Amino acid sequence: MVEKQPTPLIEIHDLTVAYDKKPVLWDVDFTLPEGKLIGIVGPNGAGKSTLIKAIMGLIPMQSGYVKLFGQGLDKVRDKISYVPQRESVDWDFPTSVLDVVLMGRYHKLGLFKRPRKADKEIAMDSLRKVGMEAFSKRQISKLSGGQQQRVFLARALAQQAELYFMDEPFAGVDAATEKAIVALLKDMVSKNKTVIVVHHDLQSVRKYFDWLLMLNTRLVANGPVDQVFTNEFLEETYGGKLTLLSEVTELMKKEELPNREKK
Amino acid sequence: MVSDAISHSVLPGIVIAFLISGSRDSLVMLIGAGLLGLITTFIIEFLHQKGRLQADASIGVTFTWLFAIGVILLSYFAGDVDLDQDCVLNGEIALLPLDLWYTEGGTNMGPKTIYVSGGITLLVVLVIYFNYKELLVTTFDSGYAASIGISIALWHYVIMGLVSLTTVASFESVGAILVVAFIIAPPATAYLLTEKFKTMLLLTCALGILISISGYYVAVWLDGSIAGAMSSMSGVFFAMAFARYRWTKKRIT
Repeated sequence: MVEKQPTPLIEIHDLTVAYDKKPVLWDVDFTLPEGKLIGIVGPNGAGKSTLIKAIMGLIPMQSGYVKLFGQGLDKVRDKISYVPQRESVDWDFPTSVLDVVLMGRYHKLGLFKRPRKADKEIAMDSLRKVGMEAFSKRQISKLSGGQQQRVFLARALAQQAELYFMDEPFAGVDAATEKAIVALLKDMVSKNKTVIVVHHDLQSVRKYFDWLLMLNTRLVANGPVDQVFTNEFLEETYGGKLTLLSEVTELMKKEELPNREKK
Repeated sequence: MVSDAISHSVLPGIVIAFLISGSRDSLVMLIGAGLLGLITTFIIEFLHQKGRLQADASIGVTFTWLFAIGVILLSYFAGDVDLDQDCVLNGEIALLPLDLWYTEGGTNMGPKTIYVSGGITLLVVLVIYFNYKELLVTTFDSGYAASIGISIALWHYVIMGLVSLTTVASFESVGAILVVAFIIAPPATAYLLTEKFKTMLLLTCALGILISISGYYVAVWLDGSIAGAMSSMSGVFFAMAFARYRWTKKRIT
């Protein structure tokens, strides 16, 4: 099921991405609405992160085009924030929390300009929103996984964007951080921002998201969570693990599933 | 390790520059070597990304064959010129004060190296000062840098270009071993002493100066090789920093 929107915030047409001739995304075609908290789910290797990276122009696509706010990426970069996977950077790098969050202001500064006082205030404000203002001078090597993720989120907030792409923000974070992040994302969406999250944990899908994109190399479903988060689409997305999955969804309905153990 | 590779792979650049210009003018050599330095980083990146070679393998392959080409060119074309491997590989720091720069009028302006190295130092400092944020963000989080429209490739080549210029300039005056010792040991030592990036940069410079001065006096005292004494001093400083690091760490845990 693919629902069309009258004025799409994101329009992806015929997107195909391959690594070494092996397609990771095949002929993916969809539009996404504005002002929603949108989840992307699918099994490992389904191309979830690849989809975000392709949209952000970080990896070449074999075919297709991407339109954001009805335009090409380069024209609207200022309105978009990308949060990479936490594991993608070296957290032993010798720098401070505030310096990382200040990177969220770099796109507004010119080539030879340095961050000013106003930028520092915005960065501190972003840290406050994620409950990390006391850590601004801390070296990033001394942070826990949940704190690292909050720093990444603060950097994204400092960008003051309209549209946010987040790659697995809940991977390996503690329960308190997950709760705080979800509250923050919902607050952003209530201010008409759009947040797109690559997500792993099926049991929280209904609780977190308004809209869901189900992916397994091809697009399986795209629409409001109540309409697409069904057994039928889950089976189509996760294929082989079918019986296990229907048990999971049954349990989910009863909300009896114990919290999944975090990494 | 890229700097180690560059210090060797620039050899064909120096030889070709010499063959084309026929002079041993430092500026011509510097341009030839600088170009080869950039080509080296291009080849390393190319093999790593397109050839799917591991980073260390592509560095190893690149600098060995470029260096070999340099040696062949040197022995074949320039065998009878005063441009032998020894002087290229182990430039003698003690001879620097003798390589003087005279103006047209014959005024003695002091050792040439001071001007060449000084100019490159100024360039490096200016680039770091004005482009600190670009260098920081592309080094720390390249995916994010690309997402806000900062070119990772451009800044990679800027920094590698500076590394190869620095390497080549110092290489000509103090030789390959000392260049590698000074490119690696001071920052590695500083990394053990501080966790702040800016402090690390300043500490690296301070350590470089300290190693040079102490190394010089050790050489005078022992009446030995200056380059050897300086390299040894860099090892001594690193060992002290390492001991301190282990000791403070043990106390915390």
